[in-house]
Amino acid sequence: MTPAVNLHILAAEFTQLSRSAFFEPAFQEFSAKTAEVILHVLQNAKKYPEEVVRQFQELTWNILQFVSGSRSNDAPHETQYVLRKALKEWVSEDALVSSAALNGFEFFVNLADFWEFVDHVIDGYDVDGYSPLVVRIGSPAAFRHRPVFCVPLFHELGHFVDHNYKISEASVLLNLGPTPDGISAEQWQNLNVQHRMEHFADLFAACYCGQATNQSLFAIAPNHGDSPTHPATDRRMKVVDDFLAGMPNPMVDLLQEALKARKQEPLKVRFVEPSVECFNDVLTCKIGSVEELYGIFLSSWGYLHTQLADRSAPWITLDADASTIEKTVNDLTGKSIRNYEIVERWKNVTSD
Amino acid sequence: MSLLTKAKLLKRINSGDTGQIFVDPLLSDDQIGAVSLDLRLGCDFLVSVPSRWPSIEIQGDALPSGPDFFFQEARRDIGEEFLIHPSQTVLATSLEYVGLPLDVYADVISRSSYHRLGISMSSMFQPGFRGCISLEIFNHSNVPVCLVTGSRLVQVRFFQTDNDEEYQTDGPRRKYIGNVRPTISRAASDHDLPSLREISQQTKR
Amino acid sequence: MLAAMSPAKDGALGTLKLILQMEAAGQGYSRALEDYLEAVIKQSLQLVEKPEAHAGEALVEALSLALHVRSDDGLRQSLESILKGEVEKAASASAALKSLENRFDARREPTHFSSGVYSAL
Repeated sequence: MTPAVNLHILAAEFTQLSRSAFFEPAFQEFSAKTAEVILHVLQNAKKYPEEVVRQFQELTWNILQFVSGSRSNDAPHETQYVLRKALKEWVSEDALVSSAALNGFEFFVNLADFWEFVDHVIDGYDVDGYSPLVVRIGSPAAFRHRPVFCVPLFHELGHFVDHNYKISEASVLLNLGPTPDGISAEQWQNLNVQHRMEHFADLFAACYCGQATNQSLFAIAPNHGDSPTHPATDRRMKVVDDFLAGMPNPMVDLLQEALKARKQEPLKVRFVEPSVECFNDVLTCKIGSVEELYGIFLSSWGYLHTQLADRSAPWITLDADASTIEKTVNDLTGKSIRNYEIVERWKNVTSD
Repeated sequence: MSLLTKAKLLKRINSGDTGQIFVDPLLSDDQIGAVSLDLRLGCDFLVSVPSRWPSIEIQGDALPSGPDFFFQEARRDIGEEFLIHPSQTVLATSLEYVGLPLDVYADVISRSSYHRLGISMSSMFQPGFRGCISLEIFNHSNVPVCLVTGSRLVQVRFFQTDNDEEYQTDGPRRKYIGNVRPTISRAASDHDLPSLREISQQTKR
Repeated sequence: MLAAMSPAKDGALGTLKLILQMEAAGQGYSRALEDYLEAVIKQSLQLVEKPEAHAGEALVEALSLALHVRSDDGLRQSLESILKGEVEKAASASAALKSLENRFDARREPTHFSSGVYSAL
């Protein structure tokens, strides 16, 4: 399979996607334009160095995955809605968000800056100002109706923001302690970058989900020690605890300094916990603000785990098992978020 | 038992007390009519589809020909169209999450505008109900009909009972409490079915 | 920002490496890419010297590159040579590429460090 053959296949795939009735219009447009640029490269292949065509082809395969996922019924719609809101606070460009429903227990937020590559590398093709980011959010398919369990996606969004602005790397450039014994300078630098990336993502998530971040981390990796790619769980949790309590913490300071150096907003608490006492009456929570929208993940997480432990809510009958309890709480949370979205969109259109 | 008219509906809808009729979201106050409340079509659907099995079986929990295999999930964004074909059954819910107090029950019927297109449904909800109202929609006409999510598909009449009725007792959990999307029939988990099966076996011996 | 590759795949250096590959192979490339290469290398060298002064406006690839330059003198020399437009530009590009390909990455290489190292973090 040469790059040229692959590009013919890809052009056909994107053309088909651009005509699919199941797509959002934004993705249809994206697919049509991608098909167009692929055809341009094919028609002018001799103009471009082989390496450019090869890399263009690799990026296009990558972007196909991103775009195909946007037809899925399996997307965690409500969680994605909240993530998009959070994303808009950090990234000014338009973003097309697609989803991947995964069979395994995995979360990611990936970026494909395809059109930036086209604009700068595929000379002879005029993008005419078209340059959306494409973001792909991956989460377990089984969690599509379980927003409370999607808290790890905020951690992944933190990685995305970090990569977008190179916060952890800037932090290591600005501040790096002396290389200790038993490690090379290069390894020491890499180790610091890896660990700060995790701390940044944890803190970022904590800005939106508060202690649900730590509780979710503890549920997934309770006893993990330090590794070359991740700090120990207890170390990670301490940084988040200090941040949320407003206590001084050197790691928080390093990352805040890097954010400032990169001319970005500081990490700060962006949520308010709404009361979910209404869940006791099996009623949705009327979320009153975007801060409460973020905060519902923490409120619901707390409520869920309290009920799993003590089963005190009046709606928990004798025969209600753990799956019934989590389903009810996740459904009420999801519907509360969905209602906020609906009201917001309705008001945007109907108010004067 | 008395029908709640507009004045009482205005007092009780989202009043915040234990006697409230909870409706969330209530996008427009003019959904409250003289004797009813209009509710909107939600965004999640279960569409009936043919399968390899000749019929839907409700006897026995683990049957591969149970209701689950005859319905497929579909979702639309609010404001998008959903096509319902002639003679097709579609399970949907109201956009609104509803909570009824213990002294009110509700009748739900399709609005006249949709009835005239051949779209019908009717249901009732007991005192204490919680959830998005289940809509079992059937297209009686001989042409496909496009519904729009978020449009006012049904109207609900509320009746005040003479006494409070417990919705969820100490017994087994009600099947559809707190549902926020259409749920496939749980007829197969009807607790009388094992007894009926045994009766049928006795007759055969 | 020309960080066109997904972070999981190649960090932010995908475009830089593409240009270095073309340079090393003697393939021509556009003026825009030439300017980009020059900007990334210049900024990375500035960042190594005075990160606090240059971090604000730096390209993301320059930031990533600066970290590698700081711990790899050979890479620094190759890049400086490219910047000066010296005759051996292709060879310098090839050497720079090799340095970047061989850089340590804990995600790819099974490594163990002592508890003393971690406690210094």
